[in-house]
Amino acid sequence: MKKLGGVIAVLVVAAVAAVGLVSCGGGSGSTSSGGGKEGGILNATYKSFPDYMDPQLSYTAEGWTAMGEVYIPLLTYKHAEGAEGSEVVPGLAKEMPKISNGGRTYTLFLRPGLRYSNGKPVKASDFKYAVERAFKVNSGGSVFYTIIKGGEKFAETKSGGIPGIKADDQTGEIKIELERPSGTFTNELALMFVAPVPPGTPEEDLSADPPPGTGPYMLKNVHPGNGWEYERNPYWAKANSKAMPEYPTGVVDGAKVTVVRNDESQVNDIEQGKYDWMQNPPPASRYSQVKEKYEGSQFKVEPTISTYYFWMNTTKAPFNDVKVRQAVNYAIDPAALERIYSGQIKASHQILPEGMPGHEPFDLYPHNMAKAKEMLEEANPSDKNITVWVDNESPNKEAGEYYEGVLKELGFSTKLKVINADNYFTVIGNRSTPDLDTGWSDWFEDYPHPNDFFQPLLAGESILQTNNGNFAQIDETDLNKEISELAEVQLGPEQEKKYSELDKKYMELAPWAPYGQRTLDTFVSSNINLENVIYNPTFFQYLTSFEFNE
Amino acid sequence: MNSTNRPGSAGSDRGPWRLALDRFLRNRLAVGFLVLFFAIVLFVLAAPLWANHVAHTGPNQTHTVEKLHVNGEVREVVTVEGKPIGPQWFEAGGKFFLGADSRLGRDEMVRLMYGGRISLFIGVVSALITTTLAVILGLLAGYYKGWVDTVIARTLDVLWSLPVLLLGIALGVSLAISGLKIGPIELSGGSIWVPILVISVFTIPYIARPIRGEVLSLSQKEFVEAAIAQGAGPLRLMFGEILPNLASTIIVFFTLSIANNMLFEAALSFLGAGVQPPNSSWGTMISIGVELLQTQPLLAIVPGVMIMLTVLSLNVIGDGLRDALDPRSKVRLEARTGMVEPEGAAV
Repeated sequence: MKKLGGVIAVLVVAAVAAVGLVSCGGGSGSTSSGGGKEGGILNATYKSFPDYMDPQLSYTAEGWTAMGEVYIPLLTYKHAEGAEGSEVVPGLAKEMPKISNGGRTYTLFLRPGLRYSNGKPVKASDFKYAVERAFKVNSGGSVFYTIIKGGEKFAETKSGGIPGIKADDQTGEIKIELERPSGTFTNELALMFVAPVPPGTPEEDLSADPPPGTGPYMLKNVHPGNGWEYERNPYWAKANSKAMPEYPTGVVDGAKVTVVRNDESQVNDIEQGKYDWMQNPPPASRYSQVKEKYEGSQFKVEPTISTYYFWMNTTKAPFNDVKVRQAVNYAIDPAALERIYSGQIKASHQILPEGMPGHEPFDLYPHNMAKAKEMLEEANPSDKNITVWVDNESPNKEAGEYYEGVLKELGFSTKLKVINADNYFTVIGNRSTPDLDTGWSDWFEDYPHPNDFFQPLLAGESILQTNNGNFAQIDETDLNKEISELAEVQLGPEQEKKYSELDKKYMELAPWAPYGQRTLDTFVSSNINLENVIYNPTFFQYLTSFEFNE
Repeated sequence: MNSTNRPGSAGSDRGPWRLALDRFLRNRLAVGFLVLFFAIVLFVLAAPLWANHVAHTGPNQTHTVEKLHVNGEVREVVTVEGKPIGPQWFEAGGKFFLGADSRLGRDEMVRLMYGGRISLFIGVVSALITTTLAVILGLLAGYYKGWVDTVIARTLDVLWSLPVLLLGIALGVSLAISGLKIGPIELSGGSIWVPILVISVFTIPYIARPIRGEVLSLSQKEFVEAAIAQGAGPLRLMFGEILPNLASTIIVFFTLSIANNMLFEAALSFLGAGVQPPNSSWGTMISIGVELLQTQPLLAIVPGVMIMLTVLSLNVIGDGLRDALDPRSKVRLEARTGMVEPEGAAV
């Protein structure tokens, strides 16, 4: 998925998710899991408004956190932390899909008795409607579903339906035919892009008036740019909680989210109890103070499945020379970046982050500036004038400044371009933008499958004219083939080993200089029972897991 | 010319500029701030000396993982938690005299000196551009009157009515991303000419409008009519007759404009629309320092004080120049406030 339009975006998503999924522990009742009290309205704050408040459209951490417990897909992620939270479990579907026909056919059954928050029954055909709506509104996530038979054609024509999806409203059966086997399709069914919405939901951005959902909470009073509210879905207690008892109901009665763009103010407001939870992390300048003062009681550090890196455009000098790219890797000092991120990043020099299947730690380029200079001298690149791109959010901006300094030390003539975080990825994702030489980026998992770190970021087919995610524009035929082949089979120990090898192969080519894996955090007021807040690797904090202290 | 000494006059052989200089030198406050301003200029001009011979680092050089050895004690320039080192004064031989600027571990003192150069450069150059354009527009509008005056004056009115800071931020941000290309003129996004251009354009009305008013008045004077009678053309009238009589006004406005433009630059840079990283100006330094206001207040206070002293100096100097070059204005002002000096005392 998601770039942390700054890491902050991811944090925001996490926070919203937290708001959405309250009581961890997986009980269907709304009782507190201990140490807390029932009810109350959670006052939450986000630093920025999500990209969309529409399940088919949102592709940022903020959006996923905000809507993760409003729109439930056929499959979902377990309401748990760490590795357990990466497990795909049935959502609106009765059970996990039956995969047949050599991995090309997925059969699921909708749970009976489900209703939307407007009282209308949920039908099997609503899934098909949701997939088609994702295509029709040009969702960034629609690419995951072109693998469905007829999906590619529907993406172009947007008419005639997708023949690869057959739904029987009587029995609740949903049969999905794929063009080829896929090892990731189960994960992709758990994304919010295909969460069912009622038929007839307008095929346009509904951020200001989101469609009805199926989760324990529903959205109301959405004011784009400013905030929104949650209240209990009346049909959760009447219908859905009985149909899917393992899904948590949540403890708080609702939540009010306010966008506060100054994170210093957010910290002050949390300290004073004006807000109960801030979705984004405290600013770096307050981080150590907050951590020191509140860790364990109101603050906890959360791991993420993410990779922070500097990309190098492999299609043009000087970075079309592998030696130059390797030299840059040697020159980067993860210890410096650890300080720049105030200790909120764990040094790493590889593509797959810790916690992602296939991750095997290695470091091909331990920091060695002398060796870097030597290699660069050998390579003697013809063009030493380069532009370095970074967004304007701290501490990414400082990381970009550090990187520019390193490149200068290596002898490059550099120019730093600092772009507003709101459109940073749009700018660097447009290949017609001039001087796309090198720059900063990050990546947070869409789903816990290593393909998510290769296919969209490093495969040749992902080099797009606009919305490009392969910023290094690396296109290695053999490695592309390996990515495709690995994506077709279900993940197992053998595949994990192959992904680990793929990680090394890419790092030998050094299209990136990865420097670490971000930690985020949960910071709540003294009114909240921190212990019960669930931080999921994909959806971050679940709203259903928040509860007020007694 | 009458040779009789006027009260307060130094003597008949002294020209108006010499008289103005004498008047300025008698204004102790203005002279004191002129000395202070020169001291600030010297301070920022000495940046390379301090950087090369004392701090041994450049303004943009990062020292994130370095350690200082001070009196047998090892101090990290930036801790693992990202806290920059505080002022070392001379304990580390002048290195990190004012501490490190941020988690990047850059020497605050070196950046203060280099940042001052950029702030002053932007202030002076944008004031030069603004004043030049404003004088030309004011001359054209005031001399030609009619539709020329209407077009120029209304354009200035429109420019004046815009929310300057907001527009400056919008323009500064967009130009910082894409740069600017107009014909042969090309500015890259990070160039300091971007804030110079933004500031220059938006502050034109503040000078052009009073200049226009003065030209309107001067163009009715006898010496202009005499020049017309001698067959002088518009260019000679504007630039040969009227412009020299505007000199004192222009000098005063130019001085005050430097101060205003420095404040404008500081505001733009503080809001991220002025000087772009990694370069520093006093405005960007305050912006970085504000993040650490609670733990390292000097990071924001010191550049703030530098801006305050520079702007204060320029304003007092500007006032002193106005009093010296146009003493009648002082008499008028004091008459309004009931502080009229004995005739001749102000000369």
